[in-house]
Amino acid sequence: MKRTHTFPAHLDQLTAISTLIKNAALTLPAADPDMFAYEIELAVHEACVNIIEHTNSDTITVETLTEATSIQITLIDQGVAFDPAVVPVPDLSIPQEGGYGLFLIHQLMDSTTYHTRDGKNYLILQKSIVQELCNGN
Amino acid sequence: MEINIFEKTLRMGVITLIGRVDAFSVAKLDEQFDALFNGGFSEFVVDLSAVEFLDSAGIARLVTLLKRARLAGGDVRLVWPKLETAQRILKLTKFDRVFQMMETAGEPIQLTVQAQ
Repeated sequence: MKRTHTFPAHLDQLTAISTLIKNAALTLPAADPDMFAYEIELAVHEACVNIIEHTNSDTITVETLTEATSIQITLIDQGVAFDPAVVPVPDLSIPQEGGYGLFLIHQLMDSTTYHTRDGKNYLILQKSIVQELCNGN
Repeated sequence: MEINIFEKTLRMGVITLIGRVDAFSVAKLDEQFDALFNGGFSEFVVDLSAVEFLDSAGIARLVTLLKRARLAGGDVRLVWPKLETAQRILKLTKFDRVFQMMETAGEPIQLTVQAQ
């Protein structure tokens, strides 16, 4: 099932976006549904915070595609593009006052892809319950 | 020495956070931290037991508190969130190795009494 919602790119929209993502993720028969949904919720939350704080986009469009064993979330913004490859990985031995967002997204999701097309930035996040079982989580 | 420990116990600020601790809500924490430091506090327990959602902005504020506390000669301890989901970010970022983690906020006082 595919659904699309567009939100103003403001921090006060984060709870609404989280609720949307959590409800979509909970429809999958994961071994640990609450943890599965929370990990996706947190990853999408971190991605949305990055969009709100760093791209100057007016809106965030959230597309959720749920299938039998996986969920794909596409976040679309019309702000400043960025290159995820240049974002440094945080040194976890030294606590930092920032810089964990992208690291968390990569840790929490099975795959993360980013591209820009026609003035829009697309961040595609995917997670499978099959992968969850393979990882023993 | 007993007086110092007693003072330390009195000056231990317990900050209890409830619900969502995220980029939208953390700005409220800065004022609270400033007030505690201005009041002479440098030892803190941040009770996360009732936290339902914790993001990277939330843990960044904990680092800010830790750095300020250590500059003032103190430290910060964290109480684990009760929800396993909310614990996830602390484990992924290995913050549970940076901070001294506790099961309840009551432990610092018990430890101090034993030290006396």
